[in-house]
Amino acid sequence: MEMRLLAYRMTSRKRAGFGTAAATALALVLGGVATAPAFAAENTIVFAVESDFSRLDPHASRTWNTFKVLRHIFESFVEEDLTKGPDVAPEIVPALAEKWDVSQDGKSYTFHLRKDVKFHDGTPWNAEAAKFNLDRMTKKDFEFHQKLSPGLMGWMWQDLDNYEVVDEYTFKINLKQPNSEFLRRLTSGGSGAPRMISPTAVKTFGNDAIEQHPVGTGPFKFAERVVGEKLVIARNDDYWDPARKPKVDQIVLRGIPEVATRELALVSGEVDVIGTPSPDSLEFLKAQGVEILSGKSPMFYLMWINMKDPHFKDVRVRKAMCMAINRDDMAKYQRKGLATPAYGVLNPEGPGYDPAYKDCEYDPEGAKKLLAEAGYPDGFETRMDWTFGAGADVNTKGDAEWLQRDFEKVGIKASIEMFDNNTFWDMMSNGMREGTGLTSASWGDSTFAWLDQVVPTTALPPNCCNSGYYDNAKLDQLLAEARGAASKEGMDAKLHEVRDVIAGDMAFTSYYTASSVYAVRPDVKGFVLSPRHWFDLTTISKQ
Amino acid sequence: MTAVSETIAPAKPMPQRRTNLYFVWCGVLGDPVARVAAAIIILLVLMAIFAPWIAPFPPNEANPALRLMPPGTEGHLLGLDNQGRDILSRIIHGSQLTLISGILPVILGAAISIPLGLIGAWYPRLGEVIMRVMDVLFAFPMALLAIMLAALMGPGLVNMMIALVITLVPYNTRVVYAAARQERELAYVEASRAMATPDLKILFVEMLPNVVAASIVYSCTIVGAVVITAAGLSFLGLGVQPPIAEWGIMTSEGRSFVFVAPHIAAIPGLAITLLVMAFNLLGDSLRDSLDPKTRLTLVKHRPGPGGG
Amino acid sequence: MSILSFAGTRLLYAIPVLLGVTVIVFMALQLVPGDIALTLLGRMATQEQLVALRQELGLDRSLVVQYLGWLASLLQGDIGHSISQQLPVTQILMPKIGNSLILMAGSLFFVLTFGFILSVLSAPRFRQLTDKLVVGLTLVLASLPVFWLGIVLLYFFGFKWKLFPISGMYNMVNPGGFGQLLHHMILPAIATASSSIAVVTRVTRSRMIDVLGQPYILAARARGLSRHKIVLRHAVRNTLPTFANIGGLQIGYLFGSVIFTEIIFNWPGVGLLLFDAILQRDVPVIQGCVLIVALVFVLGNLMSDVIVHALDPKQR
Repeated sequence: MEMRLLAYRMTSRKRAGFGTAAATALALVLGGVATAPAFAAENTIVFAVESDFSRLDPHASRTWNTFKVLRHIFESFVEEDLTKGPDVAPEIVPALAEKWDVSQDGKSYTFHLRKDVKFHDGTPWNAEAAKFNLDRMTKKDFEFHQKLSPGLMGWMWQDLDNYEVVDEYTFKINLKQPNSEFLRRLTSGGSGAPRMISPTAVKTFGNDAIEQHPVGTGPFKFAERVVGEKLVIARNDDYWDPARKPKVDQIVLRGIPEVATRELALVSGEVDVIGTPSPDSLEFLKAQGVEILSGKSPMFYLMWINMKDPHFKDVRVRKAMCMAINRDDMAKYQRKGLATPAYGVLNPEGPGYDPAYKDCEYDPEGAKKLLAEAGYPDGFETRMDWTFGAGADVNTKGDAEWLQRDFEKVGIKASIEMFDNNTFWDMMSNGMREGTGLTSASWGDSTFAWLDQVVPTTALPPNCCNSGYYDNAKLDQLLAEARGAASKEGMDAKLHEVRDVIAGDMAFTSYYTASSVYAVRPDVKGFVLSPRHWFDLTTISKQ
Repeated sequence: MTAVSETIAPAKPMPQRRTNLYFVWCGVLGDPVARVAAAIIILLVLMAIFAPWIAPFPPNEANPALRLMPPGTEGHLLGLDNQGRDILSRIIHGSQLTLISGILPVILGAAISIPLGLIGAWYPRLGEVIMRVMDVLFAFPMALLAIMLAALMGPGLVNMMIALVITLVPYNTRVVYAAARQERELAYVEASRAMATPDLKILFVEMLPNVVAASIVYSCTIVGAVVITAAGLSFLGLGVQPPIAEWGIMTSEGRSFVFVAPHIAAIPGLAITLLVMAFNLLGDSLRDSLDPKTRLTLVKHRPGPGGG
Repeated sequence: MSILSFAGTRLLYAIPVLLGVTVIVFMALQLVPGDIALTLLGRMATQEQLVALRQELGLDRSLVVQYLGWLASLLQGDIGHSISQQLPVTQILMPKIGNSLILMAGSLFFVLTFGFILSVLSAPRFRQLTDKLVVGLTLVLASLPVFWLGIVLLYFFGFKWKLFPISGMYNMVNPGGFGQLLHHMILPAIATASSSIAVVTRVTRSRMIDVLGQPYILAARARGLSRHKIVLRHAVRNTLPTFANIGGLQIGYLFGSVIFTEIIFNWPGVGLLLFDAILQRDVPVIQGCVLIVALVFVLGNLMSDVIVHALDPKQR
């Protein structure tokens, strides 16, 4: 194997040499501009993900892919240890807070801040900086308030009562009700991230331009971004935790949405790691000497249903839609077995998940009957707004067409409109468009923070992301009780109630859940997956 | 979009009247290459018309177990695509929209251009204005103007066609305008004017048939380019929407699987090339038959009424 | 007329055309369904921003007034604000134009080189095998959809034979260097050039055939000049204006093709930007891309006109 690989590389280099020779010949023809000596950046990892990045302002950013980068530039009071692999539940470890106390009633968190930490621009980290960040995220009349933050980060600060600077290195957050997931949520991101940005930088660059100059405390510093091309982060040599000092000098991240281009870039050695190769290409990639890493993921595909839509207003229509989906075959063929069918609104790897649960059975005949009862014996026409997706998504258009076929079998004729991921979420924040009946995206998380973003009435448009206008205040109550539950069992029970209420109304459903898959060149070492949507890049290195 | 530049030049003054269509007819029938091209196009048109009867499968029927299988898979001559749909069936069904989106905009464009060009040639002041507007439209590369219009109107077949029509009007108008300007100087038009025939009658009864030939020939030479542009718009996601079969969108879908199943993109692309080549050959032959320099050699070999 | 005054006249003629271009790009905005302010600001816009923009655009005033306002800000270099990137469109667009022009230059190089070589090979051998092969080749080239040719080249030269890189302009790890740029450029440039090579060859070839039939060529032949010398000395020189003219006309078509090759080869130019902007429904960026390309196109044609004028003794 090793030998064959070597032989393959040698031939490929020789051939590339020919190409270069041809190119050089052309250069001479063109008039021979002197070739500038290439700047050799040793020890660089090029990492291609599935989509370009959103804003680099942690309080206004979106998408897991963006958070994969941001969690290395910015930090929170606490972090999850993601270095133990995809099968170990990550532990919460100290980060910008050395230690913390939780009050008896579970409502007050006192963080004892780390003293020797500086932001990348030299600004010291202290309780005032923490207050600045909380003001920026939550205080609407604050000069540097990030206006997008409340809409994106309800899941984090919905229970916030107040916060105070106790002394220079002690910061206290008081909640209105206990939240057993509070610390875990502090480590999360994807729809905004509760991470600390340098107050000096925000004041210098202003609230909007700051996203082009992100300054945090993390193990990597922002180096360069060319939108649509690349995002470069470099090792922070002054990082406070010597154990987590990055092994590489810099990481170049590229968003390459086209999966075939991503795969070929990996095979040809232009990039070192790619996210989510096509399930159909895994054999081919292995044959090219590439290593495939896969592991558990909390991701699943959630489907929103437009409750304002004249067709989908009727719960029978929504149930028929659910029954029309052949989830077993979909998981089997769309992801070649790296997926399992999903039902209801609780995702695997998340709290309250029950693998045996189903919100509906696959039954196209029954679905037709229900549609007839609802007054659509000949079906109806609707539209699906879909996204090309971002992290962990591949061939979502194929999924949409699969669903389109399944729906057509029961008489629902759906057209598809595809959107770029960022545009899709901008749209979702405003609620589903008139005429759009269904929409879907990958979601699910290790906490149920995401349910707090999707289900409650506070997430109704123009907030994100109860985009199907599911207006049921009972769920606000149930979700609050789930957060406040003292035990895991209590929380699970409450979440099951949430799940069953939603299934009764059939306001959301899901169709499959996929493992996270990465393809890595053989000379890359130390890339460890985690059971999250993101990972720790401090351990990655190249031989 | 490639054949345009060389054909912008108007047809030269005709030595003989009312024989343009005759020359066209003889020219094409007399040219074996053009006959082959015409045969290919007729075959494809027939294929499009009878698609539901000759395609082995419905275009959207999927067999996921056979996804990505190569050509030669049992029962699937050209293999299956990423959804497990039969590619042969999709090619056959896809020929409908591929042909329509190539031909219909050309026809509609000509329908708008002919009156524009005629009126422009008749009323010089108005003509000047019309042609200056066309000059402005010429300032956009053809594909780009279509992309902008389609993108702003939103994706969809109808919007794509509208975009293509708008894009084509300036080219065809210029051809009609030039032909009509020359026609206007000819004796029969002078005679009609002297007899106080109404302007509109001269334009649309007497001059029209002679100008139409130039427009038809020009239209034929650009159908190939329009097929490519239309397929390109669908490739960009601006035209035909999934799951409808159309060759451009099929090529685009195959792109994601080009390493594991290159046939998915290869086959519809080849089909487009073949269709465009047939249109280009036919267009070239038509143009040659109208060009005084070459028309005689084409017709000479064929005895026919009035020919010689 | 001297070259300078010719160029000056042409520039004067170009001004109304350029103004017309701005009118069309402005009017195209009216095609967008829905609220224009919302279209321009994106769906994350706040109510205050929308009100402010409506005020600024004067949406309640007549289209003419709106256009003049828009043109005024355009002349100050303000094409609008990108929705997806929250940056001025000019700032995003400028580096991309440079990248596209590099690819265009490479393609034009192939167009002119191959167009010239194929014409010189075929025209003197009118109706011989070489000529027929060249004509056949141009037919195929003119019929290939550029997006498909790009995929085919990428498959064989990038993937199967691994001769060329397939993505971007530079290597990601060690970016830089002219050689690297050329290496990345060859496949997309050839794909972009293909159909234009066909057009240039056809037109140049038929012009050269005409020239070779002229009496003075026959006379030169009678004087005993070799075919080689006749072709190089007389035919080429007299074909040159046509060649330059048709070559210059290709700039527009190359722009049309570049959009597709940039997408397929991940070339970070205007085409890729436009494609992303379409997916993102980023209307200000779409407008900006089209406007800039049209501008470059008009100026490119102007330049080629001037060059043709300089080359052609008759026109002087």
